[in-house]
Amino acid sequence: MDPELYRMTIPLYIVTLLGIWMTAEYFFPFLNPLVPASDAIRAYASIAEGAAWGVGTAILTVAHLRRIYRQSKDPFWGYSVVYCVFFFVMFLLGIFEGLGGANFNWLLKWLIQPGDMALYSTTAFYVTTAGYRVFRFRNLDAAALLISGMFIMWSVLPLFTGPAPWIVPIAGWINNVPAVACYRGFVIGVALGIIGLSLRVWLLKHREVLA
Amino acid sequence: MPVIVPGRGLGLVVLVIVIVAILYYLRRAEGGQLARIRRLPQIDVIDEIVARCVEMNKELWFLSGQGRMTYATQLPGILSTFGILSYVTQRCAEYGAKIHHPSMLPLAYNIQFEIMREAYELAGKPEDFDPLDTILYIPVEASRPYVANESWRRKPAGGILCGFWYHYTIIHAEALQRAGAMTLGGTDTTHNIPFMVAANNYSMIGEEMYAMSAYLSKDPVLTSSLVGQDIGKYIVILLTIAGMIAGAAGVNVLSWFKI
Repeated sequence: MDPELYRMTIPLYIVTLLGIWMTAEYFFPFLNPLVPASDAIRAYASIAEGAAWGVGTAILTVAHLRRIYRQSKDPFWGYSVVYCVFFFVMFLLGIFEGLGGANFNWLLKWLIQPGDMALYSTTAFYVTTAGYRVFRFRNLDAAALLISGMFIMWSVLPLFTGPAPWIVPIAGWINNVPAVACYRGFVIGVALGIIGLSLRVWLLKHREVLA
Repeated sequence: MPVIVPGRGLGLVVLVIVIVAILYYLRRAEGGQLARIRRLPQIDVIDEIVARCVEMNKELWFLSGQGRMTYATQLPGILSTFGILSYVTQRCAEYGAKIHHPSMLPLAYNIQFEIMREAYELAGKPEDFDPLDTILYIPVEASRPYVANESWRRKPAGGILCGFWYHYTIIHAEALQRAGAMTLGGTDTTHNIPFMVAANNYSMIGEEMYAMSAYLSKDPVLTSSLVGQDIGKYIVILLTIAGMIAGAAGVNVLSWFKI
């Protein structure tokens, strides 16, 4: 059998068929009896995504093992050892203890989550300081953003709203009128883009979606 | 039982019109009549950034954001980067500017790799494509320290950020700015547009990114799709005006959309 057929063509036909089905179900109530089947398909989609993660993790692990094996050619092969140690520890604990296992949860709670939080918190500080360094009157658009942003920030700080209460209605107007209008226009444009993309996928003309 | 779910009739009509318009223009494009797209000013900006990199003999960094290719709402932004990446890489290859693309998209990495390799081949310089440095995969969490640190060390002269972005937009854009790069940023993520506008020298907003991808790739499918979407936009504008008039005349327009 031609690999192109089962790697690309058949999956794309499945995507097209399911896409048309889901769209039709949204608009036509006489398709309501099919809702349980649609729910089952959505559940299968999650399962397929999980399986894809599994395949991806396996490929990544093989790549790291290969890197360790060829250590002389790569100065950073030590990082692959770190990856493999953590991967196999979590993998084996997950297999033998399950998701609720004491050791598995201990590693998750005291190692992975604090690491994630530490990285995320530095991101938050970095975002703030980066914003301070970058937000300048660079051009007209940036100036409009800066001025409106200043009003929004002042409107929630008593330091400013106390001596100048007129800031609050201005910030409210910015939030409720121009911001909402622009947001809606933008969302409509993006939604039309999604319609165009979906149609291209249905017509089998955008094969990149299968990566 | 009604044939159409109440409140969704108008949506269905607009959807059908947009689909028919796209199919019509697609048929025309396949017959050789490609719809004309206005040249966006951002294309000149890309050329300017590439020229700056050549003059300063420094790198151009291309950052294609994050997002998941399995999410319909994030996919258009990711796909639109492909056409831009191809054009930028080809320009860099032609003029001898080095391009560096740390990709944060595991599913798109292979596609992006091939796009860049092909662009170098099209420019007649396949030997300049370095599979270990022209493009490399960086996980999202690692991308922030990588971009902040490496951009400071390598001092790129230009940066192009596009695709689907989360909160770290400002980190990447600021890191490139601090390194002295001239940057163009664009995204279709609503909450990150302000960062893109404020932190970059030039910006693309939402659909401009789609349009630029279609213009640069000269792909008949993308171009036809874009024209069909524009027709949908005209319909939405007309409906908005009609809704305003009807609302002002006392008609309860919202009841038409009640499900």
